[in-house]
Amino acid sequence: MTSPPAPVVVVTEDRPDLYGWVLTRHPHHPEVVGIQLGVAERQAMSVVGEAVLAGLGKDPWLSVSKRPAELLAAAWLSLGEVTDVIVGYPQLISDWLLPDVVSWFVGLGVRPWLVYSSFDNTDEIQAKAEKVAADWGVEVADGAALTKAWPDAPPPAPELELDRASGLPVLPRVDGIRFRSTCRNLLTPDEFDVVDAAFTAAVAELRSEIDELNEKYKTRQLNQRIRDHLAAARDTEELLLWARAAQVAGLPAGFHIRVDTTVLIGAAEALPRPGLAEPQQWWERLDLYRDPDPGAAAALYVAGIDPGALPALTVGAVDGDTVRFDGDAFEVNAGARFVRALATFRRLAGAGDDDLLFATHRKSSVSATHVAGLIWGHAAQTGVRVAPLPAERTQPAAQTWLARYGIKVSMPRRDKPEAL
Amino acid sequence: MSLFEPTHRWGPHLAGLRNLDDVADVEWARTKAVRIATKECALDRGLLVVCGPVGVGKTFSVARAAERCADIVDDVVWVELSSSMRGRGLLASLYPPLAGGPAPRGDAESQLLAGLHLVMADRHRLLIVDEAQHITLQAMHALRGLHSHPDADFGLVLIGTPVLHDRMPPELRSRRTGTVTFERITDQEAPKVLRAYHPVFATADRRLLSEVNRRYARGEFRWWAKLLVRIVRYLPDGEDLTLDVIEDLREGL
Repeated sequence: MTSPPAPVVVVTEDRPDLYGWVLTRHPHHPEVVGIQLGVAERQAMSVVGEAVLAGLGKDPWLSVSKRPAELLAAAWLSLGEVTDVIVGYPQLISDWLLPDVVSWFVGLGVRPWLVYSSFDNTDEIQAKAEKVAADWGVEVADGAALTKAWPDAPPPAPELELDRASGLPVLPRVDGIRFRSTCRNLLTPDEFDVVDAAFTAAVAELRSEIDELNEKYKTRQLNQRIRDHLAAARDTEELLLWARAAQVAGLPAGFHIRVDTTVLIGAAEALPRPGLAEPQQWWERLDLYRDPDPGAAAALYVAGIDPGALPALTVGAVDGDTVRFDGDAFEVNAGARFVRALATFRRLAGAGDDDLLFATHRKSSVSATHVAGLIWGHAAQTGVRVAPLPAERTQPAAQTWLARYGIKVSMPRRDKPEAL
Repeated sequence: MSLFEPTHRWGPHLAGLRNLDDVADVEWARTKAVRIATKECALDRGLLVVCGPVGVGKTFSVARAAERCADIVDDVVWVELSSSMRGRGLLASLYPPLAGGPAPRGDAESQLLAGLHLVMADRHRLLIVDEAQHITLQAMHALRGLHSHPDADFGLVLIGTPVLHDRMPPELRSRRTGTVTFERITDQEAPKVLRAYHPVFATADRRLLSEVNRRYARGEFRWWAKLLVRIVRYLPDGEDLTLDVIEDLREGL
């Protein structure tokens, strides 16, 4: 068991840019959050919570429920992504509140840096700082220690900018087995090398998966496999490549995969799918919410849980990055931090394992309409669409999902695969 | 709180002056200091404090300086506080001139502050808060949070009585980029300032102006402005400005 982090008490000369320096530590060091209370009257832990939420980059007006800010802030801090918090001008925090604030951060496993500043009141500030330092058995450090610990970090190297997230060129729209030869004729040698490598790898992977299908309900299983690959496509070209790969890979096994290219391209551009999360920055955008609910609902939807089932999900169903529901285990990958933050928030609010995961500040349960609002409603605010409209209570079956993309998998021949 | 178009502003207490012709943008030592300090404040996004007794020309001087700054900032916002302002009240009162609408109802002070941070980042402004001595100590911290935010893009001018200077916490004093302390117009300054101010004073005896400044105006520029309005309205054409005339007109000023 690790010991709780001891606070660091710093006294530094006030300077005009100190306020901003504290607030800008987070972009330089993602593991630290700088907070400024900004509020000097009616101080409470909720004010500290609001400051932490602002320091974490949450939008003050993107809120789904009137919840205590200190609980929300604690839920986000409990994710372990933040190790230190720099509290600017703690001399402005009421004497009765400051010990609670320090204990609160320490209890959450976050090291508070109390940055006292003096201008023409050095003795008074030094005395305040020494009292806090003595209470925690630490020494008072100077401003040099602070700037040395959290210097301006060099700007990140610019990422390689690709025209498309997958890095693929615009592919020919020809069908099935003609795809590869047309690529060879249309694309430059370099482009063809990239496309051919990706295409053959996709075909090989699909063939391997087809070989592993159980004998019964092969078409249904293949629908599921193809859906998974297409859903993970980051752009239209990648989706098109996987559709063509599926056509080619299915042939030796006797599958006929019909693709309406016009519908496929249209759906690829219009319908949301999990693969778009990264290029469209779903999780970064949903992270703007003070509440983890929209991100959690989106993550659970992407993981495959029916929207209609979310109101019945319990806090105890969340086990790290896995959510167990109705006998199934769903891996919540990219958006798992939202689900964990929501579960932590509910526990901090007094919920037990059997209490429902989604709730509001008024009710301990929510309706399917409320969950629909969480999944579909935030599109108007953040531009993130994780699921197509109209809102549905269940996830579409793989066959239906593929049909929306103009794909139909069938097995007209009953010959044994070896006959091919 | 009331707002005024800075390009037509003469100060809220001197409304009668707006109807007078030939009123000059008179400048004396402290007015010149305000003009320079206000321009630097606007350019450097600084914090300027203009302090002084009531009626000595603080608002007048800053208003003139703000007009001259109108072309170096995107927007000049003039806010006048008429009563004591706590943090939430102050922030809410800044919403109409800055955000173009009322503050969101029910939002906490920290939420209002965060919202203003977003608003204050989009344009280069000069924010002038008149009668700033009404700001409470707590609200001063809210103002500090607004001005010190790394995204803030505005110069801040606080105009107030000497109480303002005493009320500023160290955390705000440390951010001052300029201070102009206004004093009353001296008896020696009065003739020069007033003769440049309006033609009715231009022909008056210098000793008369000094004596009236000592005896009645007590260095208050506002008193002279109010007297000017009465002189223009009630002094017959061709009649000289004498001590007796001023004695008659000064009642109630």
